[in-house]
Amino acid sequence: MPSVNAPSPPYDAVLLEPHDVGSQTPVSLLEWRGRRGRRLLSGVGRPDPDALRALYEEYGGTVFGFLVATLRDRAAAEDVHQEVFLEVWRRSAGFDPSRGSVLSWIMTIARSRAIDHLRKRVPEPHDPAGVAALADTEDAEGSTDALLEQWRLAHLLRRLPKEEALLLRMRFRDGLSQSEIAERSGIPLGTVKMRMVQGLARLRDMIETEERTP
Amino acid sequence: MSWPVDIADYLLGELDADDRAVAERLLREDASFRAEVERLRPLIARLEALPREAWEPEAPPPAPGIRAPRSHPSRRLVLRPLVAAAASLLLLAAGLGIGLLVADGGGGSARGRTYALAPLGDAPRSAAAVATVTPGDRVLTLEVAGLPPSPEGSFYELWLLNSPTDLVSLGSFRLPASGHATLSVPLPTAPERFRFLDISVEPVDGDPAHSGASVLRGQTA
Repeated sequence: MPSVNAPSPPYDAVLLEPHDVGSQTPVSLLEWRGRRGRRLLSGVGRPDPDALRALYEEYGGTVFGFLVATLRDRAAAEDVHQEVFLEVWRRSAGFDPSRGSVLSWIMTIARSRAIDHLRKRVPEPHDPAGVAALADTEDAEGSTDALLEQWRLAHLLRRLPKEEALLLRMRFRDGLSQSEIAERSGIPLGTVKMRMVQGLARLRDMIETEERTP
Repeated sequence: MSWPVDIADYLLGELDADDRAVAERLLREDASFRAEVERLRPLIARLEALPREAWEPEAPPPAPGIRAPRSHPSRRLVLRPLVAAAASLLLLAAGLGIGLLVADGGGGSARGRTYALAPLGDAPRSAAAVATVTPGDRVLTLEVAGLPPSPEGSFYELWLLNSPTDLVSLGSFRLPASGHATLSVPLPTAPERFRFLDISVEPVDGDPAHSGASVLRGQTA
């Protein structure tokens, strides 16, 4: 491929070979736990790009999904997503794990930035009819909170053991009965039922742990 | 806990009439069964309401400064020294209206260390950018002027660059019709560890590597 920035005299060109940006080991999401998140976040508090990368890999998809769902504008979601992680980077040194989980902290930042963006879209009312616009903004905040809860749940689902997450997905996303799941997956029906209960109970525990943290 | 009916079957509505009657009796008479049902039922409702996309979220956009490894090598990146520093800085000062702030060619000041980026390749000669890192901050603020608005299917990307094997993306951005923008990005490392600050045009092709199409570049030392 020809180089766009081909050197021209009198400059001394330095021609460099094709390259790799770098090598990083992906984080295993299933092994993720809150303690690990806090440790990584404390790493972000220092100038440690590995820590921010790991946080981004863990939470980036959840935040982006929430923003796309909330803003309904992919380009805007990309911009706000970058703002969110910039804020995470800037404020990481002040993160206090006793006040909440990393997930809650990051999603709270995402919620604030999303609402800021939604407010910018709504013009200031100049007549009584404009009051409706403010009411719409309040409605938007309510639906933002509902979406936030959905995406927090979606994030916790990815922390489940994959065999449990698979069954929950087949049941609740695909609408299959437990018998149909057993038939399609080849897993014995008794095992399907056992894992279904285990998965639900484990997920419920995760939610309660999240909610217990102030 | 063991009950004569499966609690998941009950919660998922998969019991026949006889077993459902047993479950409803348990609900009235067995506090532990009732507690477990009440604990799990809201979760079932939340899972049933979860939108399809939440089950398999799409990949987020590339992160500033933390790009994933490139999947395939392809592009050639050419580095060259900056154009004459004095001329570039005059252009920058004129284009961005920052006057003496960058008049020393990108040195330190009480307001922070500044780096001047001058046009390369097909970039308009009036294009310029100034990056500022305030003391003690790990955020770089970039002011860009004179570049065309982001073409369809592409975006601009800011890099710290030593060589094609030693570079880090600081963030991507789009420009409005004015061609002027100010943005802030996290700094994962000291700029002085790299020789250049570089802005490239990147196609939206999922390839995180530098495209080789630089439009602005400035030395960091």
